[in-house]
Formats: sequence, C-alpha cells, structure tokens
Amino acid sequence: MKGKDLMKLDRRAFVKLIAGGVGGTLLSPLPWKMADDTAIWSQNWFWRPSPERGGATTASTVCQLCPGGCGVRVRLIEEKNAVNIDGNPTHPVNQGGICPLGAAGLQYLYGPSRIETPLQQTGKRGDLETMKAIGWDEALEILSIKLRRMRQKARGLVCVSGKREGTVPELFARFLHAYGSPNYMVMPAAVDAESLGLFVSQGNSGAIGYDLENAKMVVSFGSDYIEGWGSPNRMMMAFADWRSNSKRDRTKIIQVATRGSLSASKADEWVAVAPGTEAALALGLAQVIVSEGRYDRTFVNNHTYGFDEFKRLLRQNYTPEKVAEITGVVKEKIVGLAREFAGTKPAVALSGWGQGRMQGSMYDFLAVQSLNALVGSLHKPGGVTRRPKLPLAPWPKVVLDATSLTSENEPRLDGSRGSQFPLPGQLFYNFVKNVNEGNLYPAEMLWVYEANPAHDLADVQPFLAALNKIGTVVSFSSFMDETTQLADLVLPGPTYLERLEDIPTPPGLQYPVFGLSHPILSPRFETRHPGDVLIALAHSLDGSVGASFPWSDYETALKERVKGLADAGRGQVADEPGLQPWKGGQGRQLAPNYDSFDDLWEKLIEHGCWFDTSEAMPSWASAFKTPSGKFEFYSQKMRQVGIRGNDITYLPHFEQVEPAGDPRDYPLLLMPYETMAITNGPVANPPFMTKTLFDFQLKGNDSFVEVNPNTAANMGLKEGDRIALQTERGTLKVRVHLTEAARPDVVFIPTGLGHSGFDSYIKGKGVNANMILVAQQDQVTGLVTWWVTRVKISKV
Amino acid sequence: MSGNKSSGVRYGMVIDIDKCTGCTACSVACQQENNVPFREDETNKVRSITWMEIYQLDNGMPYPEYRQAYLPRLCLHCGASPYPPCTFVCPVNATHRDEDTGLVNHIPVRCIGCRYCISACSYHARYFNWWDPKWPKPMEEMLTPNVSPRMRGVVEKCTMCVHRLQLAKDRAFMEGRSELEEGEYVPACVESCPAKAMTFGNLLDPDSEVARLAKSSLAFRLLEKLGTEPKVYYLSSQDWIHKLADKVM
Repeated sequence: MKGKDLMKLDRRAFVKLIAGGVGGTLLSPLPWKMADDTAIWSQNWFWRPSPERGGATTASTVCQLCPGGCGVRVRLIEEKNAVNIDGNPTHPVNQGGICPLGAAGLQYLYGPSRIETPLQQTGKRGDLETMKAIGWDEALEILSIKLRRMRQKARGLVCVSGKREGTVPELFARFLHAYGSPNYMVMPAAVDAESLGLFVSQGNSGAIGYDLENAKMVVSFGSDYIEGWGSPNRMMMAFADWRSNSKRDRTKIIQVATRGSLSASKADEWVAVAPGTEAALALGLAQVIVSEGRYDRTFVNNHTYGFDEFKRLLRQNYTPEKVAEITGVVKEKIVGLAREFAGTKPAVALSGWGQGRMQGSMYDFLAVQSLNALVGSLHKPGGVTRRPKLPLAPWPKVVLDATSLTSENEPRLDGSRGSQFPLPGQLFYNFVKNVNEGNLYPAEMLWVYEANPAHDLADVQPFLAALNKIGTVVSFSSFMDETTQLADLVLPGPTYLERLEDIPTPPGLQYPVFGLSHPILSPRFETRHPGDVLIALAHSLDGSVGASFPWSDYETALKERVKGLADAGRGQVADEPGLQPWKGGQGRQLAPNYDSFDDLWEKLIEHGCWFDTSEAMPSWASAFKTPSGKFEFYSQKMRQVGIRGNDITYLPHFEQVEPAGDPRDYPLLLMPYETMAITNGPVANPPFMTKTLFDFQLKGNDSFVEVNPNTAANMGLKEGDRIALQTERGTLKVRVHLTEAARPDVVFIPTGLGHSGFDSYIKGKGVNANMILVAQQDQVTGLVTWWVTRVKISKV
Repeated sequence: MSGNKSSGVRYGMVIDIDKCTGCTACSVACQQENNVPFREDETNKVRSITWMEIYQLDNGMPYPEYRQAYLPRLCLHCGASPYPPCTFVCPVNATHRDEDTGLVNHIPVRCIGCRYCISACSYHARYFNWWDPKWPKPMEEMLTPNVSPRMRGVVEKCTMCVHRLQLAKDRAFMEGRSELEEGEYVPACVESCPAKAMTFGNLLDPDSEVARLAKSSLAFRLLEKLGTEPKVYYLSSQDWIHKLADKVM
C-alpha cells in the first residue's frame, strides 16, 4: 500500500466513522449531560426574577377589599416583602377560607397603578400628563385654603364614601357635620332599601342579620347567595354546611332568579322568573300562606299591625293565577313552594338582588320580609333578626359653630328627608340628578373615599356629566382609578395592608364582629391615612371644626371607640380555629379573654378580631319601634314622615318597573350579572382573577354577553359573533356567548369589566356595562333599580 | 398503583363538585403560592398557564332546566403503574413520580422544553412557558422564595405545593417527629377553599378524611377508562356530572 492510500478516506470509511462517532457519543452520557446543562444554563439568565430569600413570618389582619370583613394572614419575608395571603382559620367569619379577591390582595399592594404622592391637576381635568406630584404639606395647604374660602358655602361640600361603616367613614361624616354640610353620602347598595324597609316596618334604623347557619330552608329572591351576596366567604361556608352530607336533614335552598347562575344551579330548586319579578313571587307565596291559613297565628295576631289590609291586598292582586301571569311561574309551583316554606321551620327568605350592589325597591324588600313575618321567622333563631350593634364607646359630641349650626337645617343635595322623599334614605342617584338639573344649590366640592363611582355606578353617564358641574373633586384613593383620573386633587391613602382601620360586623351577620386591620408592613409610598388627613385638615380650619377633632391622630380616635369593647365585659378576641358563634343558643355572651384595654388592643393586633355569640332575640316589647309597637304590614311610620298615597303605598306590594326604552326600537331586555371572578368593588379586577375568566367571557379585549341559543338563532347570531348592544344610553360592542343559562329574549352582560383607569394589566379589558344601563327611580323612596333595560342587538 | 407500600403514604385529593361554588379562589391562591406568571392578555387559553384550571360544566338542558357547575382541574398526579403517561416520555428525567408520596413532580431546570409530556397528558394539566416571565415593576417583591420562577422554554405544572411538604417535614423533624399529622401538609388551593369543598391527605391512611371520601359512592375520576389512575377524585350527587367525567377534557 502506498502512503498516499493510507490517507485516502473512501466513502465507506467516512460513513463508518460518522456512524461510529454518533453511536459512541450516544452511548456516552455526553449528549444527555449537555442537554441537561444547556437547559439549566439557559434558564439562569441574569434577568431571571430571583425572589428575595429570608425568614418567613405571618401577620394576621382583616381584609378590606369588600365589606365581607374576613380575617387574613399575610406571609412576610424578612418582615418586609409580603408574598402570600390566605384566610385566617381563627376568624369566625371565614374560618380560613378566602375568596379570589382576598387571595389576590397583594396585587393591589404591589400594583403598578398605585399613587405614590399627592397629586394636583394643573391642566384640564382627566389629563394625566398635567397631574403634578406635590408634597403633603402643599396638598393639605391647598385643600385647607379652599375649605376656608368656601366656609360660607359649607353646605356645598359633598362626600361620597364606598365604605359604609367604621370609624373612617364616621370621621368623614363628622367632618362634614362640623364643617357645616349635610351632604355625607354613601355609594348606593341594597342596604339602602333594607334600612328604609326596616325603618317603615319595624321602626328601627340599622341593618338586618340572617341566622342562616341555623335555617332549615332558605328562599333567595334574586340574591346570588354564593356569588358575592352578603359577606361572600360566610355565605360560601354556610352553603357548604347546608350541603354537608353528614347533616341528617339538609337545608333546602330555593333560588328565585332570571339567570341560570351558579346560585341557581347549586340550589335544590331554581324558580326561573321574568326579569325583575322576584318580589311578585314573594307576594304570591304570601297569598297562598295567608289564604290557606298556614301563617304563624301567634305572631301575626299578637305582634303585627295591618294584617287585614295586607290580606285584602294579597287576595286582590296576588292570587297564584295573577302572580303566575307576572312571573311566568306556573300556579302549582307557587302553591307548592308556599306550602313548603310555611311547613319548614325555621325557614328564611333573603332579599337584595345579585351581590347586593343595587339599591332595589324598598317594596321588594318589604314583600320578602313580610313573608318572613308571616311564617314567624322574625327575630327567631334560624330566621331573620337585626344585625347586632357593637358596644363601641361614643366620641364626644360634634362642636357646632355659627356656620355649622345654620347648615343643620339645610336640605341635602340628594333630596333625602326632603319634601319629595321624606324617608331618611341615601339617594346618591338623586344627588347626581339634582346636580345635573341645577336644583337646590351648587355642589362646590366632592370628596371620594373608597369608591370609584366613575366606573362602578350603574348608569354612570349622568354622574360623569355631573362631575363637570362640581367645582373641585378630591380623591382619597390609593390607585389611579377612573374617578381619581378625574380628580383635581389626590390625597392617596395607604392600602388596607398598610393601615390601621376598624371593620365592624359584616353585612347580614347575626353575631357581632369587630375586625381590626393594622399595617403589616411599612407604607410603600408617601401615602397618608385619610383619618390623619381629616384630623390635620380640621385643625387647620377656623371656627369650631378643629374642636370636633380632639385627637392628635387617627389611632387615638380609634382607640377611644375601642375602649367601649374593653368596658363591655363580654366578647372575646378570636384566637382559636373553628369558632362558631352562631351555635349553642342566642344571648349566651362570652366572658372576655383579655383583662384590660391594652391587652385587648394587643390581642386585636395579633389575631384580628373581637366577636361575641349571636345576641339574644329582642323581646317583643322592644323589637318594634313603630307607632303600634308591632311589626307593621301597614306602615304608619310612612304616614308619619309625610308620605301621601293610597292604602297600597303603605303596604308591601309589587310595582312592575317598565324597562327604559321603547319596545319597538329596543325589542330585547338587557340584564347585568355579577360573578365572583370579577370584582365590582372600588378596586379593579387583579390580573390573577382576570386570568381565571373563561375565553367565552373575555377574549383579547372583547367581553361577551350571554344569549339564549334560540334567541340567537332567531336573529341569525352564532357563538362568538360581534354585536352592538344599544340602549337609550348608548352603544357597546361585545361578542356573543350562547348559553341556556340565559332566558330567551334577555341579554346578560357581566359587570366589573371595561376599566379605563389603573394599569395595562387591567384597563381596556371588555366593556363597562354601567355605561348603557338605565337606572330607574322609585317615586316614593327615591331609590333606584337598574336590573332591566331595553336593548337592541345588531351584528357588526 | 404508585405509592410505596412501605412508606404508607400516597397523597390524593377529593373535590366535592356539589359544594364548589365556582369562586375560583383555589386558582388564584395557586398562582400566588407558586409564582405563576401572568401577562397583559391571558385570554389565549392554550398558552395561558393555570395549574389549577376551572372548567364549566352544564347539563345540556334548555332554560330553565339548565344547570351549571364548575370543575377545578389540577394535575391529577396519576397513579398508573409503572409510570404516569408524562414521566414515561420525558427524555431527560425532568419529571418523575416520587414513589414515597405518589406526587408527580417536575423539575423545570432539567426540562429541555420538548413538550412530549404535554402531548402525553390526557388532562391538559401541563403548560409550556412561551415567554420569559415578567412581573410589572414592584410585583417582583411579592414572589415567594419557596418556588423558583420558571423561564421561557420549559414546561410547568401543579406540584401539589410539594414545597409545603418539605416545610412540614422540616417542622416535624425539628419537633422530633418522623410522621406528619393529617392536615399538616395541605396545598394552597385546598387551604383557600371557602366552601371547604376540597380535601387533601393520605389515601393509604384508612382513617383519613380523603380516603373515606374517595371510597364514597359519589366519587368519580376523570377519564377513568384510560387507566391513568388519577389521585384526584371528584364527588357529585348529580348523574349528569358523572356522565361528563369522560367528556370534559
């Protein structure tokens, strides 16, 4: 062989070499090791987010993202980074459970749309470019000068609070009182109808408490009982208890509603009614119960007034035949349901539509509560009673000077307690109307606290118009929400995890709870507690405004009230899991597990809440503060305050609200719906929750409306089609989702989407239903409903 | 069946669909606990990562006989012998079943992103990171140090919060115990459920709640016919829900 040939590589050798090389490498661990290493190496880029390490601690506090008042635990790393929120097992309201909003709470604390310093609008309202960051001294000075200048027009100061109870809303109300304005208002909710209803039928102010945990049958008239009604976690817990397999006799749930929601689906029975007719069904049941003599005679005979008038009205207008016509529910069903309701003890009927954000009609509330009265579920275990009052110590009386004294008799801008609406209601919609029409006197300044009316108010457009007529808008929000975008001055407060605040008994509870939230980490930005801001402002003003705020800071003011709890000699700080204050009989008060105020305060900070067992049912002599001293089917209180009308006006009855719009132009009905996966509070849906939405609820930036397949077929619509929804108020572009949950000829639109404020993870997702809903005002109470609006659909 | 008999531990879960109120708290709690990334638009559900995904079921009846229910679906930690479908196909051993606990784990840094396991899983329980995770500016501060964020190009899925098991074991060890008590180790979803519709525990412990419920006549599993032996059971008294067990995925 020649040397030359030795070097020659023929094809065969080449293939052998390659094959041998590949085979050999594959047999070695090299490629696998390389793949593994490459995988590891390529996942350790410098931009890889590295969570900070450190020791974990847990702090307990109370959630304030809705009025539910749940205890939460926050996990902290090195006591500064909050990395997790879960439910606090020792808190009696939620027992360790947590709703999606509460679980996503850190996305608010660390949200990109938080406001870091006070802001002043130096240009045109709504222009974010001209919002200038200013210092706190300057911000308070600006506001203080304005308030001093407008003191003679003090009544023109209006405050709207999204939070109804607790010392901070009380401080706002107190400030307005001392300053000389009657215009402290709250965001509209079902509680408004509830408190008016309690006032006219029982003569009490306050709210209602449902002893649901002890009920054997629950009939919900439009309340989405597991989808955000009342205190959401408490309701879900109660539901689980009703559904418990170990229970010998399960609690029966009946849902009366138009949409096939989860609340309807999870009930033992869903009674589908025509839109807005839940109360008519309640009266239909009442008629059957009365005419068949199935009512609680002892209670009705001894403790009610106006039963005969009520009976007459029922016989006249609410026979099963007539109610069947109104509601679309067959007669036999009405009779059967009535018999079952009267025959099950204790049974309770719930009112408050959806999540309870709509005021609704006071008469609807009365209709449902009269059903509770008829079967003797009023002030009985397993029935309905009043929500207990907390034994908090009162603050000293507001000091009034010449200015604030004269304004004591000023009419409110919302017309409440006025000649048209003499009842003591909260009529924010009427305020909007009066501002737009230029009635009474001008609103010089609007304060907005824990509320986002520019997005959340159903039928929002009149409010946006009214804002243009209000001199100055001041927002206390922590976030750049829609209302804050339109503010002239922003005084950002800390988020709920950074501030001290009390959270009194949540809505619908039958036992007293006092929650205390406290800063679990130091404030991230230059925010200031609204309570402290109010105290500082009051001290900067002339007259006696400062004298009404005899505290150096909010903490002192709060502690003064909490001293009442320490002195009450009852109740405990919740410090062990599994507390069930609704069990074991009413009125068996707990002996305190703290020995002084300081001890109580320390334990409240550590555990989050004080509670006591369900209160004793009030004696019949003290239960009703009506002129007759009884439960009044026929309300003399209404007569007393000056409401004029025929007999029906004073009795629970059903008024068919004619939806806004001409049926010839707007052939279909539009109803909003609420779900746990989309928050409707002043804060917008956090990214975690938006992620859980189905792609037939939100796809890209399009939100969907629910349409019945038959209705859609008639209109030539298919799943996913883009349509324009047009009402008298305007047009929204959405897509269609076909579902049998939707009643034929009714279009269901989710609320809570369509934000234009906040950050890029929140805004622009879907449309805001509130833009095209039309609110309708009741002419006796001034309350509004907005559940049904006429609508036209066209394909785009 | 997985779960080494000598260890006597095989973790499993029971979800009572009748009690589930569809609030989605489990899904949110999971995202928070496990540093699951999110993007501005998460509506492309094929690419969106949700370890605990919620399915909407309905009975197919017309209004008003219509009823709906939500079904939360996590990784079912299949007990099929000798391997669950996903670990069987992994070329780099990035996923495997811990036979002492029955938990199917996934080690993202080992994953080469071939997505074979995604196609092998019958339950769509595995997700691929199509993008690098990015948290808007201050939100990186809320990342928990217990779970590493995953980078683009790897697969991820529910781990039954296995880091909680480690922590619970550490705590037990410090207290001189070798065995965990019932309820000491619970995933974030179970802990969050306000309706207490989810139960978690050791399926091999006959006294445990989860074992009792899994044997209930109301119990069923998803796609049982495939023989994957999921360790997540569902309960319902509704026939129509049972009938959907093989169709929902």
